[in-house]
Amino acid sequence: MVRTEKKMSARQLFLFIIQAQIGVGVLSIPYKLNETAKGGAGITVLITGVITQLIILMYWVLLRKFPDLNLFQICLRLGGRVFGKLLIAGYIGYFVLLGANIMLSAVGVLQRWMMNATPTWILLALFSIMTYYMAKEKLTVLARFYTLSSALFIPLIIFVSYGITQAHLEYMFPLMEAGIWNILKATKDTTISMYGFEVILIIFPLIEASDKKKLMMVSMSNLFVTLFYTFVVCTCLMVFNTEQLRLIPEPVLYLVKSLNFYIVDRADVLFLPIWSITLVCSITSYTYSASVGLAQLTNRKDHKLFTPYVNAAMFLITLIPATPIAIHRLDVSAEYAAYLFIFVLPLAMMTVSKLFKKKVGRPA
Amino acid sequence: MKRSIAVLGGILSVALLAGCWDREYLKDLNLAYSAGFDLTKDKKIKETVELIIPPEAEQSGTKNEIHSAVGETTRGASNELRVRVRGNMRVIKNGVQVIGKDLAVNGLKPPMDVNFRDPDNPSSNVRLVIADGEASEIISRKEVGELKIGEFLVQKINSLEKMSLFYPPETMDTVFKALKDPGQDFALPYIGLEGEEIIAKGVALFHDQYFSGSLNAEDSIMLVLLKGRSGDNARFTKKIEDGPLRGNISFNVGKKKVNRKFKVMVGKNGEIHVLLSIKLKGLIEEYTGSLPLNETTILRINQELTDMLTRQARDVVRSLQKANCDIFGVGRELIAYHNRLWKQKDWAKDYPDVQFHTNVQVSIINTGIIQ
Repeated sequence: MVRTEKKMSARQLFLFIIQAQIGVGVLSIPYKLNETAKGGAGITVLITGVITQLIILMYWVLLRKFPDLNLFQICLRLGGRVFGKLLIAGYIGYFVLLGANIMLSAVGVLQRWMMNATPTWILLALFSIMTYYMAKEKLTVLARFYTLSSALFIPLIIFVSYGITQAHLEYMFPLMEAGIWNILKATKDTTISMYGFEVILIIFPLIEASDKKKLMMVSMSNLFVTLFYTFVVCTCLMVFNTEQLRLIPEPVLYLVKSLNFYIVDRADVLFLPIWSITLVCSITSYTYSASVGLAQLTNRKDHKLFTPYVNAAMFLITLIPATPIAIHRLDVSAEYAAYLFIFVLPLAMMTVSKLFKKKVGRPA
Repeated sequence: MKRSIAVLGGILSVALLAGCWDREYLKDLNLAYSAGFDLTKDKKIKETVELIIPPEAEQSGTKNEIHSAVGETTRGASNELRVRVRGNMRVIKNGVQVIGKDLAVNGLKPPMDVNFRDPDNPSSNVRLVIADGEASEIISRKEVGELKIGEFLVQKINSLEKMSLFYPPETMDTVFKALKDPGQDFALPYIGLEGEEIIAKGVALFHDQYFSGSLNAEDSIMLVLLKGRSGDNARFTKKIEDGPLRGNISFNVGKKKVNRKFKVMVGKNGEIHVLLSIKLKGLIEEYTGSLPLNETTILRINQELTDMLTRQARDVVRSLQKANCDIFGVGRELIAYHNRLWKQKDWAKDYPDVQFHTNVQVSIINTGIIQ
């Protein structure tokens, strides 16, 4: 092994996963959960956090069996040359699809709320260029940028917290209106905003920490994100009533818009650009992962060569859907792809790896 | 070679990526400071706006123009207006919207929809006001004294909010919330023309989205106090008819926090009782009676005012129930804590049957610098 790449620290890992996880989904989960879980939306988010934590544990079991290997190398190790490469190609496709999906929703939101006249492709191109600049760099560079931009969470949290001044606790009650079953079922709507933690599969060997510490840090990020989402969802549920939420697909922005900071009206226009940086981080994580996958697939060491292709692919995918129905279809396909690639395949790999180890272990 | 590409790229990106689509120059805009909406006889919407015209010379002040147009909907009328005025009419600095009584009786949801839907329309600090009669008549006053009509209305509403006539401020957003809430209604400032003057008549009460009654100015203050709120001041003037205390008394209960108890209880047969009591601390600002305001007189005045205000509060609650205006959010409490009962209720029919137990207690804590 002649890997000279510098590793990132455990603290950076914490912020890295947070940045990758928090995306465009949170803007609309209060709306989605209002339809399904009603007053129990906060509980739904907490349950989703627990499920995510279980998946993270599963990843950890898988990853620590192969120290110094990332997801793609594990694919090759477990699946052999042909099947492994197929798996890698699948994962690359998944990362591209998810990145494109986030980019499309982000641009959709930006256009609806503040840039009505700007052509879609310009915004998409801007996002692509930004992510290209970041994703072609080494992981440590990404980590540093993510750490830096984490400071931007402070204004975001302040903006949302200010909404509490208008909150009515009664709006959230009765908590169990939808029934336990619906509250559980609604976790499906929340998963989409939890995506992002799967980058741990790629960056795991590039972190300077013990396995335990790594798990700790990822779990902490997940805890942070879950609590942040719960806070946002509960605030929105307390500020808007059910009937009103039904009409507002992006309640978080509507909440910020309805705040009046004396000299600043339309605080959402301030909120969105700050938010965009977090979104760029999410997309970058996927672009980076896909490029690393391509490098692995072609046995090159440097992922830099492949980043432009990944960005181009994302850009082209996002250009296709023009109607809300098409966008929704992309959303749904991303969701099902996520079930497969986040949960089913890693689970299968973990199971195989268990068998694999036994086989290896026996002769010795 | 490489450097020239970088320079070229830099120039190109400055030219192409500057985000020059969503810009508007202030000099091209005609800002509508206030707008009024009325229902015409053939059920169309008449929109009247006050446009602010920037000064031609540097030192002179701005002028305003009043225009109106009729359309099927609010946006339709705005489009019609854009045909008439020069340049692009924009409502991004809008501060107050006046709604004619006829339109309010007909329902607020349809004409207000565009305000909630278009992100460019401000909503967090826009006051909604109901006009007794036509909104266009009020906007057409154009200037009140030195002030332009829009500024005048905004200042008037602000000062009346401080005087507890309308409080907490109802903006476009709070109205949106109340319009959509099945268990909560709202009240808006109610203004009208009296001779040449624009006066505040009190508040307009709403049921769901429909104008359904009104309160006069003094009852409006009582309503604000019953909500447990107050602006900077809340002044009443009462006449004590007979007894040794005879005289007029002006007092202010807005200086101290209102102590409010509000409890929704459900009886055995599903009847709903609401306990509503407020404790007010008052400052006497004027007293024309002959007795000095020593401890014993104050105790008697407390009793007298407590009786008077309790009676007034009960009248206010009766008017609210008559107008079917659930402004205290009794329905919201039921949804939250007695959900099963709520589902059996037809709130529009059952709200007037709610039994309110209203009490007001006044204690004078200050008599000014003389006794």
